[in-house]
Amino acid sequence: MNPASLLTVTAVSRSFASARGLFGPKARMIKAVDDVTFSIGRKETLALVGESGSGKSTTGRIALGLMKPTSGTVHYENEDLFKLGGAAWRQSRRNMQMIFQDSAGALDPRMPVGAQIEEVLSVYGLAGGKSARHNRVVDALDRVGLGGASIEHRLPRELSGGQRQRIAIARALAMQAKLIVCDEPVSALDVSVQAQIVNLLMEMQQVFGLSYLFISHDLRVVRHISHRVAVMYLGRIVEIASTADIFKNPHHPYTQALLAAVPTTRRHHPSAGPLLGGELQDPASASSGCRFQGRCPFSRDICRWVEPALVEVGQGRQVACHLAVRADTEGGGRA
Amino acid sequence: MSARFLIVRTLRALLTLILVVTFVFLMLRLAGDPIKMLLPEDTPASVVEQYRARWGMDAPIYVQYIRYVASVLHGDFGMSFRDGRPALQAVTERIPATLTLGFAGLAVALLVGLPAGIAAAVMRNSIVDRSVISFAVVGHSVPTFFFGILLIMLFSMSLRWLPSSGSATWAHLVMPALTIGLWNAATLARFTRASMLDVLSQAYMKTVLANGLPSSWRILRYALPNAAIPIVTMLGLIVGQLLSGAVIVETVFAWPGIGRLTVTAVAGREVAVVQTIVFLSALAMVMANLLVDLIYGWLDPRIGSKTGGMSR
Amino acid sequence: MSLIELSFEENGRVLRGIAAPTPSATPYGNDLLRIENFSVRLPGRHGPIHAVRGISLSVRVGECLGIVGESGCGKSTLCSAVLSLLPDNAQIEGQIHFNGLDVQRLSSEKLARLRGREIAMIFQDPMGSLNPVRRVGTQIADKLMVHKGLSRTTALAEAVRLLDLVRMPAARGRLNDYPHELSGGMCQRTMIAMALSCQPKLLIADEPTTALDVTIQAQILTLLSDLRRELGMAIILVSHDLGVIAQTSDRIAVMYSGEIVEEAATETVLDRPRHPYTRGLIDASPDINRVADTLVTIPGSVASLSEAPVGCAFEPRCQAAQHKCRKVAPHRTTTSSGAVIACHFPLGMSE
Repeated sequence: MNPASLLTVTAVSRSFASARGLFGPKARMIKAVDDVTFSIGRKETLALVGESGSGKSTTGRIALGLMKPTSGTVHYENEDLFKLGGAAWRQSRRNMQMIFQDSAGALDPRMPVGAQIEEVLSVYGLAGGKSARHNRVVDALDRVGLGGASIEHRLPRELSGGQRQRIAIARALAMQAKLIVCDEPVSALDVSVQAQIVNLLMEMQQVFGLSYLFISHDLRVVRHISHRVAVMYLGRIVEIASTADIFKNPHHPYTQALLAAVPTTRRHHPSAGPLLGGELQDPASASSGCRFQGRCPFSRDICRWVEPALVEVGQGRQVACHLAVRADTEGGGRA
Repeated sequence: MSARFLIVRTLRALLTLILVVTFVFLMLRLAGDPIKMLLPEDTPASVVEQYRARWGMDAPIYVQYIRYVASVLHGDFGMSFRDGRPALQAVTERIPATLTLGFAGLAVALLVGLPAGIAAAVMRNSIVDRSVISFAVVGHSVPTFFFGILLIMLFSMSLRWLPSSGSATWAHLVMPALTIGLWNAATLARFTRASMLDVLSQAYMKTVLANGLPSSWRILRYALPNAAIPIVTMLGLIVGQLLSGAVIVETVFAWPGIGRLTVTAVAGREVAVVQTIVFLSALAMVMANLLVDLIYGWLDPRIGSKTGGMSR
Repeated sequence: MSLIELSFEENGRVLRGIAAPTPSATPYGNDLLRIENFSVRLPGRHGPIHAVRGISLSVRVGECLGIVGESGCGKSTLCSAVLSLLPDNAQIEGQIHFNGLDVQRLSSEKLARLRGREIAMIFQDPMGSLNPVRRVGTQIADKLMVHKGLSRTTALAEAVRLLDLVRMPAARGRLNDYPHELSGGMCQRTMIAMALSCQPKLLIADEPTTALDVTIQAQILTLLSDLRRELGMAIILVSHDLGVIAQTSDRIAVMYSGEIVEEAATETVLDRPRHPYTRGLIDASPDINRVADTLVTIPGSVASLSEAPVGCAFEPRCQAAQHKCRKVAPHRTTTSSGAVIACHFPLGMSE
């Protein structure tokens, strides 16, 4: 465990029983998250990317302590999140906040947004008296660009999608969050508004030293906002490296395919890899070997029988692929 | 539709029946001592005990329950006090009349309610739609006895076309069937309209339009099978109700069905007969719902299918 | 100026390797679809919504026109209008001609024929666009039976061929599947197979990949491009994603607040946008090949579609706005190279 990191997720797995009742065949366990390990440093943004069914949202919920893993541990500031009691649990809970794709769902539709933030503050016993709480809310709203106007008295539905995301950020700031798990925070927004929110998140990181776990399917936003990227496929991390390394020189065939699939306005971009055929397998039909093997253009015999482990192949880069590792050792290691 | 789905639904139906039997048993015991209710007030205590022993009322309650369940399983629901016949016989001889009226009423409801509801939804906000809504509101709020009496005044007394009571000929069936049918047609039309409107606003109906399929295909092959799913639920309730007999309509038209028997049995404190009717009504309701479940599985491939779908 | 632009366009065309459309005689020369001064008002809860405002646009035989715009810019309403799929209470002005036919004046039989055989449409939510209680094969076969008069058996056989055409894995086995048994990508392939069944001259794809994962999106976009080349049909591709549009289209029309603010060849729009909104849209879209410290943003949010303002609709968010912009709505001007722009002070033109 890295003592310098704010959050450390170690060997976390989470299984769900596939829905089966009374007389059906035995319920099968589907591993939504399988042996996932990563850490996030202070003032760092780690992006978790993958397609639907990759387990990235489940991983986010576990990292935040909202869901218990079947096995594995989550340490926040070197404390085991699932062994914390009472006060310490509450303390770490308020230091870790979440922003969703649809903030409307996380807000009470009948209560003015300012009052909602004040209420959460009072629940956690923050900022002393009523006027102090109000000041903090006004301050936070000001920080996210919603100051001045009477935004705090409005109901969630009277705000635009971008404004609601700003409210979610303001709430995290008012709680003095240190780590924010952002689950597809800009996916539902128009491009012009999306840019505003991305910039705001980056600015707040600079000002308050925040750490982000940024869950997204949009690699373009990820490249822009994150320092490191973890690529997930069917519950496993297949590659994790610095953003520059991932985008410049992706090692895992799936990462290459993901990059190649991203639509770009530049016509002559260096194609990172071939376009991927096939679709995500049913996670319930577990087979031996590499999970990506069925769709992988480079798959060999070994891929069918042995599941590749996530191994270090260079400075801060880990890859779970037989071929990437071989290429790397043969080539004498890449920087 | 899988076999598992069938088995689960059938077991569920059986469970409901067991609950109904138990409930009827308990209600009768809770309602007071049936012996005291039947015998005159001044019956000597010894005679009361004698009757109690004869009907097994002196045993502990669980023994009574077991005996009761066993006799129900044998089709023995006790005797009708008034004419000394088995209660089951008294009830079953009324079933044909109730079935005839029930299915005639259902036919009227379906033939009027379904097309009216579909037409209203397809021609939304038109004259047709507005007339159907008005018909549904009026039809549903006019009590059946009042509508029945109106029919009698018109067709029996003024026009002298139809007999006002009894069940001797097909002509006798017309007015009670209309009364029951139109009342249910009103509900059905409203329901069908709402369900069709919902389906017509779905994305897949835009696909049908964009593909230029004729309206008859659009309505009958693409919209109706989807809209039918909630309508079938509604129909299940209506059928269950019709099979248990229409108390008011049968009384107004002197139709010799289960509904009228219910009235006389309740008035005459015929415990065994009432009990039999409650049981058979519950049976009818349960069967109707089982049927609805099976039709569901047939209408909607998503229900009870083996795969839950690949997508999340 | 115009000379440079022209050579650039040709250059771009060659680079993308897309064959020039085979010209065929239509009443308007090469124009397959021609929309003229078209407006749509839809009744809304707070007064009418002016969703489309005086749009003129044409699509040539075999070309792919990309329409890009943010939510509520009227792009979907415009698409629905081409197939005459707008609700009855929509108020429409202007004209839409397809192959010389006035779409709004067609009898219902001719309209059904147009929808079935001439123009096809696919939608954003592929799963929701297929009937949940009808088998996939039957849904494709129905269209073939109606418009091509095939028997059910022949139609089902043809459905297999079409599913193969759209690279559906194990096509024959899919005929008896219900939509919920398919993935989102497979549902969109089914929709495309149905769309192609009667060899349409124009395919309208309204956000066809928005609900799909990125690798599946790439597959579907490639498929659409391939099919266009193989079948020679024109495509109108609608998306909020400039990247999706850029990779697939020959020409781009940028919509803002019910109007087309800029329309030109893809390279022209991307490399030298003239309208401040287009410029903003490009800069605000993060690109995988370009890293910037902060994304350029367009201040404010998308304008509402209630009645049109006096001046330019983009004026409140425009950094180059001047007094005139608030007072006078800009007219569409066509440059010598055929680009269209609606702005008083186009970028790189004034001074």
